[in-house]
This record gives sequence, structure tokens and C-alpha cells, in this order.
Amino acid sequence: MKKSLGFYFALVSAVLAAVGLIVFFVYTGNGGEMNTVVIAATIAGILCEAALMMGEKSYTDYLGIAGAVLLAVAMTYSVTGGLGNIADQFQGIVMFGKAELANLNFAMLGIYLVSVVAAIGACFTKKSK
Amino acid sequence: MWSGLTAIVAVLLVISIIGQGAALGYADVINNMLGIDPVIIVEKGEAGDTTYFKSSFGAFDDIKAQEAMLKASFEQNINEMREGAALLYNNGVLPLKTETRVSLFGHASVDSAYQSSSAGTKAADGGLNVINLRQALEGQNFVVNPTLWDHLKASTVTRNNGAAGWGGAGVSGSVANTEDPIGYYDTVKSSWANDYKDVAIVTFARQGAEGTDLKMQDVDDDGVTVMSSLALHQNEKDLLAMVRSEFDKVVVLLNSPNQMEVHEIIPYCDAILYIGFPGHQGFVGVAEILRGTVNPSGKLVDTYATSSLSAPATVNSGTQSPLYANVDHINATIGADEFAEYMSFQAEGIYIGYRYYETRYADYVMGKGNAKSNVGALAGASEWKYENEVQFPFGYGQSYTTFEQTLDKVEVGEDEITVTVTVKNTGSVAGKSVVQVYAQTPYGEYEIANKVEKSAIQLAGFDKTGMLEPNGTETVTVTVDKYLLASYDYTKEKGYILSEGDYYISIGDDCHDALNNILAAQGYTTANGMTANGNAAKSYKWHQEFDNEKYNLSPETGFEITNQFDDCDLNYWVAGSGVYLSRNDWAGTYPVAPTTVSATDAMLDILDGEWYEKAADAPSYAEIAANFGKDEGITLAMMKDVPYSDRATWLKFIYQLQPEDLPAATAESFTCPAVGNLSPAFKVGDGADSVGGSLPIKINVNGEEVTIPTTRYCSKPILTGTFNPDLMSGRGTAMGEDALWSKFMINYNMGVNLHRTPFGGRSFEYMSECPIMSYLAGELETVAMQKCGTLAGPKHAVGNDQEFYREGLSCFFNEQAFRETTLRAGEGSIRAGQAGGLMQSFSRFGLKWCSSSYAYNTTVLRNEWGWHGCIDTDAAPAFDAAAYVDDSGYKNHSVEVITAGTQEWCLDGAGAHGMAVLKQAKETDDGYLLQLLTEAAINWEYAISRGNIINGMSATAEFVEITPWWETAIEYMVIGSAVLTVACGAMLVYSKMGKKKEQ
Repeated sequence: MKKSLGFYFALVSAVLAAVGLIVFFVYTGNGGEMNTVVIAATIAGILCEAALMMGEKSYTDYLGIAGAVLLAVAMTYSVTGGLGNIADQFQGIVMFGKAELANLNFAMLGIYLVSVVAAIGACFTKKSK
Repeated sequence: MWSGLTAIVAVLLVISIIGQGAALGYADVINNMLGIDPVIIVEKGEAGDTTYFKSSFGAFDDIKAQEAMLKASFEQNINEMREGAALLYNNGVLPLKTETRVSLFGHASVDSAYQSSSAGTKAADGGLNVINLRQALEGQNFVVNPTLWDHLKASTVTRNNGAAGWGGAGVSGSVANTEDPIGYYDTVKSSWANDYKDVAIVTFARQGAEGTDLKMQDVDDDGVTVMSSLALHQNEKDLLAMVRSEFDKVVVLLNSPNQMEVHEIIPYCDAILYIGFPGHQGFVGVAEILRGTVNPSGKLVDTYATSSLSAPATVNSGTQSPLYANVDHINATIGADEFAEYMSFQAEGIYIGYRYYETRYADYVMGKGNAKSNVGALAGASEWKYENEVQFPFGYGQSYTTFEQTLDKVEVGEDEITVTVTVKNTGSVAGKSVVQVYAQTPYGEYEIANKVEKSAIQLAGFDKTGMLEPNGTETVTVTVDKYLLASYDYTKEKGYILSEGDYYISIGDDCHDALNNILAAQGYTTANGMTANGNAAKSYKWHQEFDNEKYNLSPETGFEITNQFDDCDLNYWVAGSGVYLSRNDWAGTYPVAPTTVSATDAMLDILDGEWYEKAADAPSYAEIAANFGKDEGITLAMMKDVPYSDRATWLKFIYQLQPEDLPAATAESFTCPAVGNLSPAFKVGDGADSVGGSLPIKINVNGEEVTIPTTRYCSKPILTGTFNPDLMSGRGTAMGEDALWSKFMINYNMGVNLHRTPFGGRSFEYMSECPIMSYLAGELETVAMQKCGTLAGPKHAVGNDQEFYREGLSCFFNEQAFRETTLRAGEGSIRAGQAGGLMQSFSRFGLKWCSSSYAYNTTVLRNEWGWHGCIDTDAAPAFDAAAYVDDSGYKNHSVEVITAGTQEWCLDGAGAHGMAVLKQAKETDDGYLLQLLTEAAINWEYAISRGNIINGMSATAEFVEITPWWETAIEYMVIGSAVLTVACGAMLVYSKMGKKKEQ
């Protein structure tokens, strides 16, 4: 099977989602808020993207949408769980969360965002040539 | 294509739905940031003049009035530095009358610490209205070496900034490698070789932060050698040595609210000026002092010890706070979210700051209590000796002139002592002189037998002269409240006593000088080991009989004052586990190693935080709820003059609500929500040296309309270091006006915690190591602020003396120490100043979170002090009422908190904690909990009715809630993306079916 553009989009999305999950573990290891939804959604999203890499099937359109949505869920919860950290960093106070963790929230936002965009890109493209 | 489009809109739908929930949880923060007032006042009748609290500068829509107010605030800021900066050392080089061309060294010169990370307006280089050191010096006609300035600015090295690293427990606070290695200056030495050589000014900074204490065990710049963060690090030493070798005149500025180890600096310089943090424009005062246009008159409010680690409190607190010995068992049993890992046994008792050093000195002179022992002395010392241990005592500060103070008269009355002092300027330049009044109370057999500890000297009062010209004189009268001389006997009388024996009042240039004057009156001289002979004429003695009644009933309520904090003593839980420092045996009781214990099962039951049980005689929910929902036509404006004691009217007012409205009265945040239709949403100020936020009228700067931030004043120890009651009141007035213009109901400010050690991350916000200074200064600031129509909310009242693991730290103490230090520091603002509210601390008193302590919140604050302000937790954000019903973390035992007497939760704009209480009240049919919510609402509404929030409200005004635009926008986004998702999804299915047909 020749590799299509969609394959690479799905690959990038899956790899970045895995990186995002690793960052999330670093984040929780440093006192960030644990949320099992982030973990479950990321793993499910990666599985969807991995399935897309297997090539064009009748259900790949739905699988692609599901992957993008799941990764968007992971992204959003990883950020909303850290809103207290971000609020503290912006206001220069230590009240809602841990300001020193805000950069990890931003990092997760960036990584997951690219992952989601790549997942959407995969939806627009064919998964095999 | 439809697959991709569906993915896009579905992703948008997910983000908007999840984001909506999160945004609503932070609605008050978002509204605050966007400047949205979610409630508007609608007038239904004839309003009349409803500006009950007016600015002394004019109308709130008059830009000239705003400008005048701002100008006055900067004048206050500068005056604080003019009178609060303390000249510690001067070999005659200051003032710099003729020197012009100067070189500035040290990163704090070009990147000064204006404040630490905490609440309030942030001043920074280049900020609107901020004057930096260079600009201030240029304002006094100094010319600053530009090459050196730019070189320092370009360095990649930055000074310590108090930022906490990862780890969550505020474990940073290191000063290592915060100055460049000396080689960095090689390329710019030519810039001062022949010019800019009149004087070198070196600035050193130390900066903790909210959540970050300075490290007691820091590393040197080599990354290996362990040392105090308040000691000079190698790069700093190298810098000083280089500057000393190249300049004839070297002046050092201490840009630090924490007491640096200055003995290391003195050999390399000609003068040292302590400047703390300057806020917006305090550097103007610094430059004026250097130039000599202002004569320094500030005094230290902390002891500068030779070793910052010699204070007994350092053994068990700050970054040396020990873990419980069985911390793993604790976490496994009650959960890590109870934050019960660290403990701090306050072995020092009452001996904080000068109370330790001076008392041990007195005993050294009198040959008592094994004071000479080397236990607690500098490393390697054969005996403890005051002159080796202390560099500059509390109250110390030089002037460019000399003063002579004469103790004219002391009148001891039933409740007050009046001290009259005549001050004469005996020098050649005009200046102000501080009159410091100290006291000594007896430490005799009764005290020894019953563990009543006594400081050999304690601040009792102070005042400051006006500007005295050479040979000018002024007579100053200081009144001392006798209550401040009483001791708490926690073992025998279990109440306040006035000890039997000789009492002394003394004046002095600092606390050590005043003690020497008392020792002189007692017949001691340098032959007994005194550092200098005292002047007995500056002290006064009288005899007092033992009195165990005078202060044992509350004058406000008649409530009997007796032990409430026995269970905060570690020995209550584990017998013999803790030894308190006693002047009866310095050698045997000075703490030499941290005290830690394994938490017993009984202790775990309390640490767990869940103990409330519904009382058998509790009324039913329905019984209490039946009172609500009765519209009496009473508005908030009608309540503004109704006294708190008129319970019937206040209940009628509150019963107009529904029970479901009550949680809003427990919700304190940057924007507090409306409470039913009784009171509107409003904002609060937060910060000890700045209320935060912006002034209402925009101004034009370089063609742009900008808002003006409220003023950041000097760090608190500079304010208290003025020893000037007028400036302390002035701070209250200035911040009261800031808040009045900003429409803040209350300022959570004051800073009533102690500098228990020199390492406190928030020493810049807290007044002093001396609880009496905090008491007296706090009262002055509170009263002045509240006259402006802005309530004062002392924080963190009380017991937040460290930042390291401040959340949940178990502080163990005896009741004498607690009442005479921690509690006394807050008592001035709360009880004497009648503050409108307070914010508690994160600490545990013994095993209970401060907010869950009935002894503190109800017995002391309400019953003993008769105080009826609103009691607010420290930050306890909550966004989901359902998550806070049960045992889910040490701040989330909402029912235990409200039953202790706490009534509001900080940063809980959604009222989630109150909702949890209401839910439990309903589910368990507990009318008592509903009664407590009612009481909380009374205190909250009473506070609101006493401040500027009622400006603009007539008796006929109504409140109308509006939906902020951003909530509407998110709502539309959710609906829009949902519709598009369905549509795109349908098109996807349709197109796939079409394709299938084609195939």
C-alpha cells in the first residue's frame, strides 16, 4: 500500500497526541490536576488515527471525525483543568492553582491543537493511494 | 469534503461545550478581567444625593479629581520611603552632596524588585508612572554610567525573583547565580576608569513570593556549598571586592524586605541603606536620601542578626519545616488531598525576633538562665554573646543629625500609661526623630513555675516628631494601652494576668538601647557584660500587684477569656514531644533539631477534617426555611444605618430571600455575586501594598487611551519603619481612596502576619517581627481606610507566617505564644480597628485548618472580641457544588468550616461551598446549617451596607442582573456549531449514500 497524504496526517496526529499524553503525565506528576477523560480520549483518539493509517475503508470517514473529536476533548480538558494555573500566571498570584504549571498547560494546548488540526486534515484527504 | 467539514464543526462543538462549563466556573474572574458589572442598579423613585461616601478629591467623573488623588497616592508612596528607609551604616560618605557621576552595580540596580509576586498592582520598569532607580537619581542631578547600565541590562543573568519552580510547594527561593561572575565586568571597566567614578552604588535584592519562602539551606554560586539565601553569595562578594578596589566611595542599597546578613557587606562599603521594595515611586525618596535633600529617619522593624539562621524559629519552620514522621501512613489513611504532610512545632514560643535576642542578652547580663551557653550561638562560638549575634537591632536607624531625647514624665493610670518625651535636634541639619517607647514586665518565681515567658523588652508605643531644625525641640506624648503589658498564663490561671513586681517603661534609639536603659536602672553596667552603659534616667519603674481579673472578661461582651487552644500544643497529642524555649534555661530549651512526630489515630481523625454531626436538637430544615420569602420592602440602602445589634430588622431583611439565594452570600471573589435582589455584585481589592485594579477614568498617553493602575506603595516594613502614625494612617487613607474610586467593597490587605523568621516569602507584605508593631500600625491603617468608605480586611488573619507548604501546614504552639504573638498581631486591625472583614490563612492551628477552628473564629473573634465583620477563608476556589459535599480535600469540608464560624469562601464566586452546605442542610433536614447560612448572610450584608457599594443606591433602587456578552457569545457558538455539525453530518451520510448508489 502506497502512503497517502491522509496517512501522514493521521500519523502526525497520533504521534503528537502521544506526546501530548506524555506531557500530561509530566504535568500531573508535578501536581497538575489528573483527569482520566484526557487519558481515555487521547488513547481512543490515537487508536482512531492508527486505524486510519490502515487505509481507506467504508467507515474511515466516521473514524476520522471520531479521532478529531476525541483529541479535541483531550485538548480542551487538559487546558480547562489548568485554568487556575493560567489565571494565577496572568494575575501574578497564587490562588486558583499553580502558576508554575501554566506553561505545561500551554504546551499541551499547542501539541494537542496541532494534533487535532492534523486529524482534521486527515479527514479531508484520502488514506491510501 | 463533508467528512473534513463535519470534523471541524464537531471539534468546535466539543470545545465550546466543554469551554462553556469551565468559563462559567470562572465567570467572576472573566467579568473582572473584562470590566463587566453583571448587575445594574435601576432607580425606581427619587434618588436624591446617594453618594454616601465621597472622595476627598472631588467627583468620581472629574479627571482632575482623579489626577489629584493619584498625585496624593504617589506622595504617600514617596513619603513612606523618605521616612521608612533605614540608614544602617554610614562612615560619613552620605549624604552625597557634591558627587555627580555614579556607576550602578548589581542586577537589582537595573532590574529592581518593586514588589514580590502576590496580589495587587504590579510595578515594573517602564510601567506607567513607575520611577526606576536611574530616573530617580537623575532627578537629583546624578549622572549614571550608561555603558555599565546597558551592559548589566544585556546580561543573561537575572536576579532572584521569588518564582517557584515545579514541585508545587514553593520550594524555590534560591539566590544562587543571580549576579554575574566578576569577569562579566571586564569589558566595561574602562567606563568608570576615568569617569562615573564619584561613587559606586551597589544594589542587592532578595525576593520571596506568595508560595515561596527564601531558602534556609540555599547553595552558593558554585552549586555545592550550602548556605543561607540571606548570606552574600560568592558572585556578590566578588562584585563588592572589585567595586571596593576601584571606587573610593561605595554605597550599598538593600532592595530586600528580608534581613540580609549585612556584616558581610560592611567591610566593602561606606554606607548601607535599607530600602525594601519601593513600589511605583519610592526610588524618589531613596535618591533624595542619598543626595541629602531628605534626612533619613526610618528604623528597622526587624532584627538584623549576624546569622539569619540563629533565630530559634528557623529550626522548625520555613523551608526547614519537617514532615510528619509517618507521612506515608497519613496520606494512605486520609488522602494526600488533605495536605497534612508537614508540621511546624513553634518551639520558639514568644521569642520571635528581638524578643529572643534581647531577652537572652538581658539574662546574659544578669547571669541567669544559662544565657551564656553556646547552644544557639554562632558556629564555633564558645559562648553566646549579643554583639556577635546581632548586627542591627529592632528600631535601629541612623540620621544625618543627632537628637537628644529626655523622658519627662510617665503617668501610670488604671488602663493607660502616658509617656512624655522632649526631643531636641542637637545636630546641624533638620530632621525627624522617632520616639520609641518600650516596656519590661516582671519575670519572677510565679512566671518560672507556671511557664509564663516574658520578653525582657517589648515595644509599647511610638510617635515621630515633625521636622526639627537644629536646636529645635518638640514634646511628644505616647499613650500605652496597659492591656499590651498583660501576659497569658496558659498553665495555671488559664487567662491573662498582670504579673507581680517591678514594671519598667523606657525610651531608646532602638530596642537594645531601651533595654540597656532599663538594665542601667537595675544597676547593671558594662562590667556585667552590657554592650554599653545605659541611661537610667530614660527609664521609669513602678510596682504592680498580681492581677488575674483585669483582662479576663471581654470588655465588649463580658465573655470569660480562658484557654481555647490547648489542642494546638503538640504535647496535648503526644506527651513530652515538644519543648518550648524558656528563658529559665536557654541552654536546655533552645531548639537544636526539628521536632516531628508520627500522627496518632486520634490526630488523623482531626486531620481528616470531617467531624460534623447533626445535633439531636437541631431544628428541621422546613422550620427555618419557612421564615424565608417574605417581601418586607426593605432595601439595602434602608439598612445602612441599622445597627448590627438590631437582630430583628436584619433577620427581616435577610428573610426576604429564598434559602437558595444564601450561598451567594458566602461567595467572595474578585467579583462577588449579587445576593438575590438584596445586594448587587461588586468587586474587592486585594493586596497589602496595593488594592490592584485600575482607576475609572482613562487618560491619553502618547495618543492612546489607557487606564491608570492603582498605586503600588512601599513594602510594608518600610511603612512600619517610618514609626510615623500619620503615614500609617495615610496609607489607610490612600488605599481607601484607591478602593473607593475602583468601587471595591473591601480591601484584603493589612498584612498582619509575623516575620517569624527572616526568610518569609511575604515579609514584604507583613509589618514586622513584632506583634505590637503590627497591632498598633494595623489599627491606624484600618481606621483611616474605613473612614473612606472602604472596609479593611486584614489578611491572613492569622498564622500565615511562612509560605513553604503553607497549605495545610500543622502549626503547633502553646496558648501564650499564640495569643501574645500571632493573635496579637491581628488584634489591632480586627478588634481595636474594627475591620469590616478578614481573610484567614491556609495554616492549620494544631490539626484543624484555621477556617475550621471554632476556637478562633467563634470563641475569640465573636465571643471574646465582640467582632462582627465578615470572615473569609483564604483562596478556596470551587466550581462544582456537587464535588464539595463530602471529604474531598482539606479546604472542602464546607460544613465543618461554616460550623466553626467562617462565613465566606475566597475565590468561590459561584458560591459552591455554600451550595454544599445548603445541600447537606436539605438532605439531612438540618435547620441549624440553614441558620448558619442566614448568619453568614447577615454579616455579609451588614459589611456591604457599611461601605462604598451603597453609593448610588437609594431606598427605592432595584438591582437588575444582566448576562455578560461573552456568555451569550459562547451560547451562540454552542448552538451554531451544533446545528452545523448536524447539517454537515447529514451531508456526509447523504454523499456517502450517493456514492454507494453510483457504485
